[in-house]
Amino acid sequence: MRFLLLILLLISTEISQAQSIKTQLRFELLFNKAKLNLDELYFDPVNQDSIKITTLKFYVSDIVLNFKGGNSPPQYYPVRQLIDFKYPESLKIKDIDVNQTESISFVLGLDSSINVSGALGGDLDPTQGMYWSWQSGYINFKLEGISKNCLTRDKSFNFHLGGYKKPFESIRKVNLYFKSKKSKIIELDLIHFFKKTDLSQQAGIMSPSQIATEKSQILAESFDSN
Amino acid sequence: MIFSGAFLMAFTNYYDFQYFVPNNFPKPVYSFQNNPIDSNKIELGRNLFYDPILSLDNTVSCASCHSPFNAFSHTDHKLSHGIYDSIGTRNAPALYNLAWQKKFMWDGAINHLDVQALAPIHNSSEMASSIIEVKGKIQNDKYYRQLFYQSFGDSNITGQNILKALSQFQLTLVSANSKYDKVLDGKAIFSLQEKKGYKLFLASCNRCHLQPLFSTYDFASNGLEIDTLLKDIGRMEISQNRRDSMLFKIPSLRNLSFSYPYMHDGRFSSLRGVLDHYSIMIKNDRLGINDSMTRPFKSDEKTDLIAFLLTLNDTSFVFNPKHQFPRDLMNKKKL
Repeated sequence: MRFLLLILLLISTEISQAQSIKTQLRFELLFNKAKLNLDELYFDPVNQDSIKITTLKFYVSDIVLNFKGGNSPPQYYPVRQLIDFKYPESLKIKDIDVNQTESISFVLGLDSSINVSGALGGDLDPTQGMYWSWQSGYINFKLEGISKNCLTRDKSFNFHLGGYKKPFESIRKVNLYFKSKKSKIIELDLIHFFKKTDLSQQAGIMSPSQIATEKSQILAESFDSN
Repeated sequence: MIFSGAFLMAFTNYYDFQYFVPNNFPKPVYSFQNNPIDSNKIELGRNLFYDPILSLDNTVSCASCHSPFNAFSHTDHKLSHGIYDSIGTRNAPALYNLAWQKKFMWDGAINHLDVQALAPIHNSSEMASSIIEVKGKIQNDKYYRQLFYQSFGDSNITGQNILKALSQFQLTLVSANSKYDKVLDGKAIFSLQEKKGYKLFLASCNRCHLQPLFSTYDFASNGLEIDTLLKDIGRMEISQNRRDSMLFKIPSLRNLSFSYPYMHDGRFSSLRGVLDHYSIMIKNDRLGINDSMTRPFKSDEKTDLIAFLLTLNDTSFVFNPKHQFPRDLMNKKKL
């Protein structure tokens, strides 16, 4: 009897330890399936271009986790986090355990209620460089860099994608299934964006517009899970 | 009384309740629960409002274009001025009764008072700075670290707190003590000419310049043709909707004696000039002018109307020392 109790105790301890190990959701940046680092040059074989990304940041909000087998109900997290590839610590979603997660959905950008709420703090503080000044509203996705093909004076491109009002709402929902049981990484491969963007024709978007909504859709479709 | 108890509590800290929320005013639209009024924050906001530290080269403050003696507009200047003697494209509007306004700027580009200051801070023809730059300068200023600590319990400066403090001061700019207000309160009476003007106003102007705020704060065309040099298309610039072409925010008619010139580009220097314009305005589908908006005022009617409009001047607001330059700001370098 004592032996049986000891085994039960050991098993329950192991289960409890396993449950306490949290798996964090992490974002990674790719360029044509290879890891991308900011401020390094990459060759774009589609456009025969050399591209350097200097800034890449975007908002992730309203995360919903779906669990294996559908035994547990989906869990909603009212996250509003700025993912900024300049700061590695920002690439992990804080305080969410995705260990048993089968699939995830999140919003790329910030919804209209946040956009009309005045001055907010933390990741939403205007000093994060993600708030327009000439008109109210957040930039959901900021992509800046330099390209050989750009015809701008300094070869730079600047895509500031946002807009919370119809008909130019630019937030997009992303749904992904996790392929790996071990790691929970969401990859953003920018090659998809550049495949559909001719930088010699368009090197910038700085306001809500139809083209901003189209680019937002392309970026939302550029996410994948490992 | 139509205001909530919470709102009353929000105001009792600094001025008395009656001063802030006039009896004849509707319910404010500003969300006070997200930025409860506090005397320390008001004082911090007043310092920031008058401090050129908000501009790139420390030469232009909010008050440069929004002077208290001009009802927080820039009298005698058609277009706003900025650093390096730059000139903007629009007339600096008067600032008062902001808690009753949903959108800001002549084209309504700004959707909340708390984020309005970002526009002039970043505009290259105004302060030409950035909220990031401003935050850095204020963080390095001992005077402000103290004020932020007193206000927010934290000397670590954030963009959010800078903007909320600026809102706090601007929310105190309530103008509701004109002769018109006193007449409504039974403490004064209109002259015969003012009374005639008031009657004309109600028949011809009140639809857009709705009393007691003297604006619906909506957007409308006033029949002005586009300035071919400025090429300002108004709200269409923001909405990208052709129907919004040449629509501008309807300004309040309070304190007109202190806030000339008039219209979004300051093209009229006198009230009679404005009424002359409305008198010759005819139906124009392109400019959104329908028959109900045309009103050929006779000369004596214009005089009567102006007599009434002058009853909307609020000298106690314009000369209120609590709205003026904070003396402590002069001494901050001594710290």
